[in-house]
Amino acid sequence: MTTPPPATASPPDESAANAGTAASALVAGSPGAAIAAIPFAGGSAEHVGGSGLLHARVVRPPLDGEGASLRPRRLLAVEAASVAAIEGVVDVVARGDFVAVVATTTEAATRAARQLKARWESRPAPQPLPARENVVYEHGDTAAASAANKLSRSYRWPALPPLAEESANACAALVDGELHLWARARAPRALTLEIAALTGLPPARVQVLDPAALAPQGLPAPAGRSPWTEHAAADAALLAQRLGRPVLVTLGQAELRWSAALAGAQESRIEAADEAGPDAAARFASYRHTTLPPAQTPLLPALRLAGVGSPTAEAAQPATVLPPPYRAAALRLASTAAVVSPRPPAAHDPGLPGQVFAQESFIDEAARAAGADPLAYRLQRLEDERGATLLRRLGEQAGPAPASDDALLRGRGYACAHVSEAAWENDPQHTLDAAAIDAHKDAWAAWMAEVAVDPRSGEVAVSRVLVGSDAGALDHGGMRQAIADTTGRLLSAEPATAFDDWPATAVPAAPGEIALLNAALLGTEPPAAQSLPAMPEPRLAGTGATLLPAAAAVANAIHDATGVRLDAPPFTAERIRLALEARNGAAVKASNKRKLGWLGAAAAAAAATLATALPWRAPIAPVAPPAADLYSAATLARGELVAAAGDCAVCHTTADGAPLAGGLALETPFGIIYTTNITPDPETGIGNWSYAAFERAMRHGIHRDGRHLYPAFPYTAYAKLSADDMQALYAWLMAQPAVKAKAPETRLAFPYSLRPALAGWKLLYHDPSPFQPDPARSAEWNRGAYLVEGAGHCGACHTPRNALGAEKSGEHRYAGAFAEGWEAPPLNALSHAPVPWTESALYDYLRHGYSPQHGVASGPMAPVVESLAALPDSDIRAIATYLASHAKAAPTPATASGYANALQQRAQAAALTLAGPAESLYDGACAACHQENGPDLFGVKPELALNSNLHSPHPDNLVQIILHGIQSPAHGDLGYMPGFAASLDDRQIADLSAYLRARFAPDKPAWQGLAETVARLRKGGVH
Amino acid sequence: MSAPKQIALRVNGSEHQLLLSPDAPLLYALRNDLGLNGPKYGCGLGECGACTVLVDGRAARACILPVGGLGQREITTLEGLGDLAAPDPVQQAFIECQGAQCGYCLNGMIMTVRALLNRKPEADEADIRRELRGNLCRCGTHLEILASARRAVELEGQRRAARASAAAPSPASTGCATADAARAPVPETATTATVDTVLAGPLIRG
Repeated sequence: MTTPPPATASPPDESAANAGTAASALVAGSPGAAIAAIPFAGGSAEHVGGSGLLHARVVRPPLDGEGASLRPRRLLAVEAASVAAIEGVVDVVARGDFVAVVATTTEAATRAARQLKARWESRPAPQPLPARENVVYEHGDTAAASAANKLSRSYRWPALPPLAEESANACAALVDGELHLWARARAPRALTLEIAALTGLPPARVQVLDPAALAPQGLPAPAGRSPWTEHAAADAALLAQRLGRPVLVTLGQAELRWSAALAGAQESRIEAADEAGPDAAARFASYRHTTLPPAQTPLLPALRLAGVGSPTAEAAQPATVLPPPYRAAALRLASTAAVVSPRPPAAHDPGLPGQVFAQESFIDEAARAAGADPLAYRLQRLEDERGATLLRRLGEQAGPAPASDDALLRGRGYACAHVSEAAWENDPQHTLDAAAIDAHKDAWAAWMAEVAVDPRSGEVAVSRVLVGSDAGALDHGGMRQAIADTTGRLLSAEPATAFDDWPATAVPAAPGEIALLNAALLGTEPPAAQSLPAMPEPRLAGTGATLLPAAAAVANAIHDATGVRLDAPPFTAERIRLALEARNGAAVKASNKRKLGWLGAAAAAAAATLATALPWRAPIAPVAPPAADLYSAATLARGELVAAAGDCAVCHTTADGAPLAGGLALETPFGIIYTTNITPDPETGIGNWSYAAFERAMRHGIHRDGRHLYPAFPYTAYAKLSADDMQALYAWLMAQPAVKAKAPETRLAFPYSLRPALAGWKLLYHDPSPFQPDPARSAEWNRGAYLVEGAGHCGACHTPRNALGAEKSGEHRYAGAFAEGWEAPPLNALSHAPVPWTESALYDYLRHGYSPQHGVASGPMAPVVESLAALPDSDIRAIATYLASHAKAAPTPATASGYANALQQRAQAAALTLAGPAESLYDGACAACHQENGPDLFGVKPELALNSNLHSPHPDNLVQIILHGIQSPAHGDLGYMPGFAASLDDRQIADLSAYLRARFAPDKPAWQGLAETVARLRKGGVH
Repeated sequence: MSAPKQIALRVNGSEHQLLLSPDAPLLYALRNDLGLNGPKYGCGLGECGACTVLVDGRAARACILPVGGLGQREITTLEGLGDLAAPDPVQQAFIECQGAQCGYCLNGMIMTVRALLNRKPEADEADIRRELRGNLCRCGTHLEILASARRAVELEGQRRAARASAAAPSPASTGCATADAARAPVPETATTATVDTVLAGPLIRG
C-alpha cells in the first residue's frame, strides 16, 4: 500500500478549514483511513460501509482442450482451510466455478490464491457447431474462375498475450444499494449491463466510474488495458456484493493469459484468381474472403464461471468483413458468424487487425506466385488513388532493398490498410448509408518494415520501420512507442503456457529505426471536404488504423528475407528456425529422421536407435567462434537464465578458477571425472564448437570430436531443453570471456576407460526425446517439470543410480542418493524430513536457501540455490509445485507447525535424559548458536529438532557439516558455521553426532559405524 | 584459503579497502588490519562470544564470519559504540556497575546487550539472560554483568526519552542492584582498567 500523497502540500490552516469534508479526511488520514472512503465521481466522498478496502485475487479453473474446445474445468470443492493460516485472509469466495481469495492486503491475497487447494473436474468436450457461411457482400461469380491460377490461403489471428509484468485491476463497492465500479472500461454501457446481470441489480444501479479518482487515495494506480480491466471489474463486483465491502481485484499474468487463451483465434480464408487477358495486371478475376471468428463467445470470466448468461453477448455484435482495397471482377465477402453486418468494419473493430493481416499477407503471396514485385503488384490493383499515392511515396522513401550477408538474412515487406474511422456507435439506428460514411471518414495507413533474421537461431529483429498515414500528423506523443510496442508484441514469445518461457526475456526489442511519414510530407493530405469533424482526441491517437498493417508488413519482410511464410503472429524465433530447417534440403533429411525418432514414430525410431548405438561418432568440423554481437540482448539474457537453472558454473568452475573454465574433480563410483572448460576459448574450451556440435553434446552426450561423454555430464537431463533454450544457452556461453585453461584429463580405470562402450549405455539408458508437457497438468506444474527434469537435472543427484551409473526409474525416481560425499535426500514419498515438505517450504528453501522447518541448504546444494537466485520467483514456485507433487501429501501450514512444535517439545524432553561428555561437547560447540530459546545472532538459527539431516538414516550430511561447517552459504544472510575438523577428533565428532541423534531424533535408531563415517568423510572419501 | 583480493569493509561508519583472502575471518581483519582491538579472540569457533561485533545492528561472531561474505553490511565494533567523552548507554552502564573482572569477555557482553537493546529497548531480566547465554565468562562475574545489563536498559530508556523530548524526566533508577542483593551506589570514578575494557580506548592514567 502506498502512502497517501503529501496532502500536506496544502498549508495546515487550509486543511483544517476543509476538515469537515471527506476530501481532506482522505488526504490527512493514515493510509488505512484513506482507503475506508471512496469518492463519488461527483467529487464528494463517502465512507463505504465504514470498513476498509479488501484485496482479492481470483483463482481461475485449469483449462482443458484446445482451440474451439478449450474449456475451464468444473469446481468440485475448495478447501478454505488450506489458506486459513495465512495472516490477513478474510474469506474464500466460490460461486459456480468462480473462486477468489479476499484478504486485507494484495500480498496476502496473492499468497493465499497460490496456496488455495481446490479440486476441479474436467468437462466433456463440447460438440462443435456446424459452421454456416453468411454472405456479407457479393458481386460477380467468384466460383467461376479456373482452378489453374487460383491461390487459396488461410491465416490465423490469436488473441495477443499479455506483456511481461502486465496486470489489470479494478475496484467495486456497494454504496447505498448501488454498485460502483472503478475501472477503465472500453465499453462502459455493455459492462454495466453485464454486471447488472451478474449481480441481479437493475442496470440503473450499476455505475462505472473513472478509476483515476482512486489514485490520490493511496490506492494502486488503475492499470491494464481493455478488456482485462473489465474482467477485473466483473470479478470485483461479484466479490463486493458478496462481502458487502469494497474490493480491489488484481489480475496477474496467469489470469490474463487464461483470458487470452480462452479468447481463441480468428481465422481468415482468402481465395483469389488472377485475371487472364488484357486486364490481368490490374485486377483479380475473383476474390473470396471468409472470416471464421473465434469459436468462443467473448464473455466476462466472472459471468462465464458463475454461470450467468450475458445480456450483451447474446445480442452479439454483428461480424463485419473488410473489403479488399484491390480491384476484383468478382468479389465475395462472408463470415461464419451467426450475425453479420453489411458495413465495413470500423477502425476499432476487434476483428479488423486479423483481417488486414490476412489480406496483406495474401496479396504478398499472390504477387510472389505471379512472379511480380509485391509493391508494384499492389499499386496496379489498388482502387483508391490516395492509397496508391501513399504506398508509392513510401516505396520511394524506403530506398534500395537491404541485402543479406553471411550472418543475417535481410528482407523488406509492405502492407497497407484502408479502413473506415467512422464512429458507428454514433449511429445506433443504422440510419446512415455505409458508403456515405465511408466516403467521409476513411483513412489509409501503410507500413514498410525491414527485418534481419539470424538463420541459425531464427531470431528476428525489426531493423527499420517506415509508417505513413494520410490522416493528419503522426509524430505526436506515443506513436513511436505504440509502433515499438506493436512490433515487439508481434515478435514476443508465445503465451507463457509454454513450459520453456522465461519471463525476464519476454521484453520485446524495439525496431532499430522508426520513420514516420505524415500526410503533409507525403503530399496526400486529405482535401478539406474529407477531413474529419472535430473529435475529442487526435484522429489517430496511437492506435486505430495506423498500426493495422504492422503484422503483415513484418510477416512479408520475414518471407522476403527467408522464404518462410508465417500465417499467424507471434513470429517467434523457434517457428522461423524450424521452418528454415524443414526447408533446407540435405540437412533436413538427417534432422527430420532425428525428429521422427524423438516423436517415437516406430520405423524412424529404429533407424535413430541404430544411429545412437554407433560406438564411434563423426567429429563435427571446428568453426570460428560466432561474433560477439551476433545474438540479441534478449537471447543472451535468456541464455543466462538457462545456464543458471542448469547450474553450469557449479560443476564447470573450481574454487579458485575462472568461471566455466572447468577442472573440478567429480568423484564418482567409477573414478574421478574432471569437468571441462566450457568458455569459448578455441583451444582449451568450446570456442570452435558449432551450434550443431554443442547441441549434439547436450542432447546425445557426444564431444565435438566424436568421443562419447560420461554421463556425469547430465545430458540425460539437458536433452529435455527446448530448442529455443538450447540456442540461447549456446549464445550465452559463446558470449562469456574466453579463458585458456586446460582441464586435467579424465582417466577412469578399465573398463570404464572405454568410451565407445558408452554407446551401448546410451542405448539402454538415454532418452534424447525433448520434454513433453503433460496437458492434464497446470502450466505451472509443467514449467516446474521442465526445469526440474531438464536444465535443473535434479535427478542427477537425487535419484539413485544403478550399477552402471544410470538413474533408476519408477518408484526410485527422486528416492535419494549420494553425490560428492553428501547425501542428496529423497524428494519423493521416502523423504525423511520430520515435518513433511510443503510447496511453500520448498519455495523458501530454494529461493532463500533456508526453510525454518527443514534447515539450510548446504554442501553441494548451497551453490545450486545460489545459482537459482537468477531465476524469477514464478520459476521457483513452479519447481516447488512440481517437486511437491512427488512428495507425500503435504500437511496444511497449521498441521506443519503443529508437527514442528511437537518435535521441539520431544527434543526438550529427550535432553533431560541425556548427559555425559557428549552433552558438554554440544553445549560448547553447538549451543551458542543452535539452542532453543538462545540469543539472536546474525544469520538464521536452524532448529536441530526439525533438521532433515538428523532424521536421515545416513549420518553423512551431519558429519560433513560438523567437520567442514558452512563456509559458502547460498546467501550471505544465512550466516556461517565454523568447521570443527581441526578442533574435534573422530571420536568426539562421532559422540557428538550420536548425542544429537538421540536428542533431536529420539524416535530414530542410533546411527551405526559413526567413527568410520567420520574418518572416511574427514579424508574426503565418497560413500 | 583462497587467493587475496581487494575487499571493501564498512566498519564503524567508514569504508576500508583491504587486500585479504575472502575466507579470512572478520576478526583478523578488524584486529590485524584495522587495529580495532575491542573484539577479542577467544575460541575461534563462535562458541564464547568474546569477538562479538554488530553486523547491521545484530550480534555476530566475528571469528567465524568470512570477510568475503559481508558485502556492504555495516559492521560496528566496540570502538564504534562510543568513547570516554560520549559513551554508549551500555558502556556507561558497565562502567557504573563495574561489570568486569578480567574484562576479556566484556566486549562480547557489551556488544550483545547493545544488539538486544537495538531489537528490544525495554528488555526484561529473561531477555537479558537469554541473550547472554551464549557469552562465556570465566571469572564468575555474572551477577555484575547482569546488573550492568539491567542498568543499560535504564540508561537506554533515558537516552531514548531524552531524544524524544528535549526535557525528559529521568525515571527512577534501580542503579546497579544485582539480582540477589542491593549493591553499593554507583562509584564516582570508574577504575582505569574497567574503563579501558569497556571503551576499548587507550589506558587512562590518573
